Formats: sequence, structure tokens, C-alpha cells
Amino acid sequence: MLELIKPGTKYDFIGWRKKAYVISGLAVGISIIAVLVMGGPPQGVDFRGGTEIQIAFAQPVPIEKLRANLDKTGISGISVQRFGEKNKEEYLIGFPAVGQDASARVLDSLRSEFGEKTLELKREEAVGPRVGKELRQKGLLATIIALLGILIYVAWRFEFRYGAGAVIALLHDLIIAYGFMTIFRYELSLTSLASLLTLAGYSVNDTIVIFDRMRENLRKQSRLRFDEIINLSINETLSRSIITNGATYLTILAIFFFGGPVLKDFSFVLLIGGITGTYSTVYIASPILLLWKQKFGKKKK
Amino acid sequence: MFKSFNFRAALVGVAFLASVIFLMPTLSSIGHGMPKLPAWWKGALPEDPIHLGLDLKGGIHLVLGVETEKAIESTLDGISADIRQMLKKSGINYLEIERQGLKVVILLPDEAAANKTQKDILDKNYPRLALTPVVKEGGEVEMHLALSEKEMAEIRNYSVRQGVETIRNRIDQFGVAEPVIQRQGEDRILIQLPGINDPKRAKELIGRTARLEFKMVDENSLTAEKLWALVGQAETEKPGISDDPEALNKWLTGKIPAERMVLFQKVRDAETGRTRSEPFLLQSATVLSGDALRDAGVRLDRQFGTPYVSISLNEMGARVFEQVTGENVKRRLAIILDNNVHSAPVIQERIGGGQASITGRFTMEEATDLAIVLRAGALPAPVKIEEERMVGPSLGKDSIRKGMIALVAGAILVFAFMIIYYRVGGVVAVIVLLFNMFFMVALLAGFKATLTFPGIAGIILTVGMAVDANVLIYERMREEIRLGKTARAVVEAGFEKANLTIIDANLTTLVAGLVLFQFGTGPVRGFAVTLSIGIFTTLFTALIISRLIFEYFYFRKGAKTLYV
Repeated sequence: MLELIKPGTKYDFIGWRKKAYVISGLAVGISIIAVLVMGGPPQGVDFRGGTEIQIAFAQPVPIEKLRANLDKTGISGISVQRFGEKNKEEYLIGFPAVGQDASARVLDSLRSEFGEKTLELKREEAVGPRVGKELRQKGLLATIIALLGILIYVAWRFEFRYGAGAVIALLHDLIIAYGFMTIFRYELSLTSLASLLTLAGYSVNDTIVIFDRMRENLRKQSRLRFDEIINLSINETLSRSIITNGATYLTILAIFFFGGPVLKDFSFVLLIGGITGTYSTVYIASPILLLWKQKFGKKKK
Repeated sequence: MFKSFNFRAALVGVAFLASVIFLMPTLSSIGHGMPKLPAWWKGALPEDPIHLGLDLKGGIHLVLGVETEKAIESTLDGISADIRQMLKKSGINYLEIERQGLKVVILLPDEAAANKTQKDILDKNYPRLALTPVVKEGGEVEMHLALSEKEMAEIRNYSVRQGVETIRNRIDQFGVAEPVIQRQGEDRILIQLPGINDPKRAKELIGRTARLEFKMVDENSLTAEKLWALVGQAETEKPGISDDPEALNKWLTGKIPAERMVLFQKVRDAETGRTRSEPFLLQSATVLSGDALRDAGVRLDRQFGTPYVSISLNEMGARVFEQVTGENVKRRLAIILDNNVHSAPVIQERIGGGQASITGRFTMEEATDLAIVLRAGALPAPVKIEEERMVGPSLGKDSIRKGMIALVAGAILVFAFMIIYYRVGGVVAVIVLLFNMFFMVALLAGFKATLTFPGIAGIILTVGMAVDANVLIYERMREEIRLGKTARAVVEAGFEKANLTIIDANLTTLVAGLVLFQFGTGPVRGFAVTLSIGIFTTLFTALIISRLIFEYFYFRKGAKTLYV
């Protein structure tokens, strides 16, 4: 039998929680500072509004020539960047204006200089200011509803403090993922927001497995102290945590490396979340239960 | 009943069969030596292959905002033109009548005229308009007419509903397979056109208001030089004003004779390729509008072979047209499309029979599209693009390929990992995962859900997450083995104890999935769909199929050693 984690480990996770607080505090602090200083991750066209055009050329076209051509269109705030794989002549052109005129002007201008046949319009996304604002609001609302839904579900299946522990651990993961997106300049779009919410689901998934074990051990091992129960439960599920997360991580890596640029932002969030999710279950969600019990548990008596 | 091995086995059998049926159309649609659907299949069993999202299939997704305010304004414009006619007919002396914002304002010289207007015209014809008379200094009376809130709401609502109908007509005539045209919320129209190669043309066809009007040209009141000078003056005072006919004509009030307006004809210079705008002084009253149209079609000029649009008018339109052309021989009649003078031919003779033609320097494509929009009718209010997402066919194919590579790579990695770690148990897990993917895709087809690019990512992630259920079961089994239990007891305890954890852990992800489904559009919604479906198939395959396999070997066959 192949065993990554030998059974009967007795790691004192709860004993290390003070150190973990420092690490988490640093990670969350850096994330928050990054978000405040850098203004969050770059906003995708979904939330920022404006137009984005992805084009491909049949032969190499230097970006300087492209810029010069686009400057002549007189459209304000126009930007160009290379996109996708290195060996492909693909560019992403963005500008704040939305509507038929501007994008047609860009394409006409490019076609007249570089030739009708060599240029292919691969993708165009335009989001007007009203829709952009709505998507921002809906995105925020969705995140809040998802968090509340998870809190309610966990509180209903366990107890309120378990729900609170799970959601605080979750917030910890979300803040760090958001911070990483900010620092590494991964775009916040509808797709990456979807992956943040998925991260929320997965992060809680881990937490629940350990909480479930705690509930079972509380029943079975009534003589142990609560912190001992926590330690025991984490140790017992340690092997599962590592294997499951390993497997999930493999699939996320597959998406990250093979899924192309569209799914890169999406899987990046999950790559970060895959690590913080497991960590926060052990070092955030569980100690919070203990803190909660120490603070509020006595009042009941 | 659920305890019965046979019952559960039968359940899996039925699910498997149903999935095969749902997946057959998809398989046969791939072609390449895949089986064709037999004849008896048609009509009895599902025939639709999996529905691919626009991001995979290629196509255009548009959200149009309807400027419903404009529909109210044009209703009021109609009312004010109507009242003006009646005032003239009944000989009431009025100073001015025009629409100001969302009100019609009539200026009358005295109270007597005001009373007569109210009694003879307004009370009879427009009893439902809210009327507020304002007596001004010098005895002039201003009458303000407004629509009720309810009527305005009706007009707004109608303009969106009618807009959907009109656009559907246009798209049907343009010819697009499986278009989606839907009202979205209060004042939006959602349009999805799969497989469109020329998004520019499609957008022009959809977005055009296509309001056709005929107005008489006034060539006598002002000289051409004076007209050019006025327009020039307007443009120096307020640059860009000539692009906004409403603002320009407001500015021109008092500078040109009453009940006249200026609109432009865009003329393309054949040599320089530049367009310039030529102003026309027109009588404000519309002689005939697009409502009087019965049909429109493309014809070719016999002499030059150039295309033009021929229109035929309905009975009433034909009568009006005959009368107007008869009365105005040798004068010019302007054909106006969306406030642009399209052409202004000189009437050579009385035109009977209700046939007219719109000529211009059309390409065949332009003429065809113009005929389509004229046939389908005008939009009751202008629309503007609020959201557009276009994916070209090559990018869609590319995405499918990338998605498949990522899926295969992810699955192989996970499979290898499971088999190395759990050996026989791992093989069972792989079988269960294959079932899981199979059911997922079948449910997608069965629910007629849309598979998008992020949706493929959802399938890949499900493979990773579904492993968790197996891992939870196997780790439990290992714990039970260490307690020295028999294989049979281990299997039983492993599943019993892991069940609840598996359900709890998966349902929280479902919370996120459902929120995403509610909030997301297009591709993201596709992700939410596969994520949520994946949770159910994971529960089904892990709790039922994998258990059946273990029970078969350890309960039925009496195998003693457990390899997990």
C-alpha cells in the first residue's frame, strides 16, 4: 500500500497556529496593501467597459507599425498588446469607445494598410457603460450571496460557529487570491470572477471534510479537549486532504498550461486558491472554532 | 428498496441507457465514421446534438438598448402634426405648435382660440391627453399636452416588443440558422446569431432604425447659398451640430420659414472618396412614411445593370402618392431614411399604381439589405449596442481543441495518480470517473444545456474534484482495515461513514454553482451548468456505481483482500 502520509501522525497543528497567524496576517496584509496601492487587478472589458478586438495576421507585423496605423484612426485611448502564444501574430486592441463606428474604423484602417486577406478578426467584445456597471454590481452581489449561502449551509449542517469559521477562512483565501491577481496582473473578468466563486466552493469543501471529522470525534472521544479533537481530526484527514488537492491541482495545471489564454486568468485564481484553501482550513477555520469556544463557549455555562 | 443490490444495478442500467440515447445524436453529428441515426430514431428519440455556446461555435452575441424615450417623442411628433392639420382645417388661428421634450405645446393668440381648440379638437380627438393651459402676458395662451404615465409605459413597452418582432423579421429574411432574439428586462433586446461571418453587415442590418419618409423639397424659399451659409453659421457656433438633425433644426427655428426643416444628403465624391453633406430645405410635413409600404425588392436597372430598390405601396399609400406626384410635377420629392436624405428625384409625371423606386450608388449587398429592412419595417425606436461579443469560427475551433487537450491531459494525470496510489481501488476510481464524465456530457445533451469554453473547464475541474469522493471512501476503508475488520465490513463502513461527508462537501460547491448560474451570462453560465451537473453525477457515480462495484466483488464474489 502506497502511503504518502503514514497513519497515526500527531502533528500539533493547533500548537502552530500562532506562527500561522503571522504568515496569514502577512499574506493578507500584503494583498490588501497591493490592492490599495495598485488599485486591484486590471479590470477586464466586462467590468471596465469599452471594446476589445483580437486579431491575427497571416504574416509578421511589427507592433510599432500597428501602433502607428492605429494612432491615425484618431480613436482616443487606443492600446495594443501581443496576445496568446509567442509564435502567433495575434494582437489585442482595446479602446474605451463602444459602438459600430469605432471598431469598424479600426478594422478598415488595418485592412487598408496590411491587406484584406492577411487580417482575421478572431474576437470582439464590447461592453457599454451601463452594462459594465451592472456587471460590476451583479458580480459583487453574486460574491456576497455565495458567501452568505455557504455560511447558511454550513451553519445549518453544523453550528453557526462552524459557518463563521468556514467563511472567515474563505475570505482569507479570496483576499489572497485577489491580491495575487493584483500583483501578477491577471485580469478581473467575468470568467475570473467565476473562478473566485469556484474557489469559494472548493475552499469550503476542504473545511467541511475536517469539520465533519471533528463532529464525529466529538461524539466518539468525549474525554479529549476541544483543541485535541481538532488536532486529531486534522491528522486523520491529512492524507485525504493532500491526495484530493493533489489530484485537483493536476487538473488545474492542465487547464493552466493547455487551456490557452482565455482560461489562464481563470485557472490562475484556482492555482492560488488550491494552496490557500487547504492551508486556511487547517490554520484558519479550525483555530477560529477554538477561539470562538474560548470566547463565547463559557457564557453558556 | 434502495438497499437492494439489484434495484441499484437496474437504476444504473437505466441511467446508462438513457445517456446513450441522449448522446447518440451528438456522436452521429461528429461524422467521421460515427454511426448514423437509424430512421426509426427520428421523431421518437432525441435528435439534438449537444448545444455549443457561441464562444465555441463562433457567432455574435448582441445586447441592444432600445431608446424607448424616442418612441414617445415620435408618438408626440405624430400627435402634434395631426393637431396642426386639424387646426388648419377648422380655421383656428394658432401661433405655434411643436413638441418640447415630452410635451406638445400649442401657442394660441387668445382665450377664445384656446377654448375652441380644446372643445373642437382636443376633447374630441385626444380626450386622454393631460391638458394644462397657461395664460401668458398679452393674453396669449399656451396649451401643454402630455401623455399619462400609463400611456407612456405602454408606448415604451410596445417599442421594445415591436423592436423584437421587427428584428426577428429582418434576421429571418437575412437567413441565419437558429437565431435567438429575445426581450431582456425592461428595455433591452438580446440577439444571438451563430456562425455569422460578417458581423459588420449583420450589425448594420439589425441596428438600423430604417424609418422611411417622403417629404417635398422646398426650392423656392431660400437660395442654395443662403442655406449653405446658415448651416455653416450653425456649425461655427456649435461644432458637430449638423450630425444631430434635431438640434440643428431647433437652432434653425426662426431663421428658416415656418414648417420647414433641413436634412442632409451624404454624397460620396467618386474621385476623392470623401463624403460631403449637402443640405436640403424640406417641408416638415411627411407626405408618406414607411407605414404605407407593402413590399420592397431589389431590381436591376435595365440600362446600366446597377441595382436599385423597388417599393410598392399599399392602397392608401398608392392613392396619396398619386395625388402628391400629380400636384407636384417638376418639383423634387425627397426620400429620407433615418433622417438622411437618400435621394431627391424630380417628379416627372403623376405616378399611379403605387410603384416607386429608390436609386443610388448601391452595391448589390447594400440594396439587398435596404430592401430587407424596408420590408421588415422600421424600428419604433432607435437602438444602440450595449454589449457585443463576437467570436470568429477559427477561434471557436481552436478553443474546442485546447479544451479537449486540457481535458485529456488533466484526466490522464488524475487517472495515473489514482492507479499508482490506490492500485485496484484506483482502477475502480478511474472507471467511476469515466462514468462520471459520460453522464455529465449526456445530461448536458439531455437538458439541452449549452456547452461553453469555461464549461469545458468545469468538466475538467469536476474530474479533479470527483476524485475527492473516492479518496474519502478509500481513506475511510484504509482506516477500517487498520482496525482489522473483514473486507466486507470495511466496504460497508467505508461507504456508510464517507457518505455524509461527500454529500456535505459537494453541496457547498453547488451553492457557488447556483449563484454563478443566476448571475452569469453566456460562457460563465455554461461553466455554472457543468459545475452543477458535475456535482450530481459525482454523487451518483461515487455513492452508487462505485459502491456497486465493491459490493459485487466483496459481497457477491466473496473476495477477501481489499486493495485500496
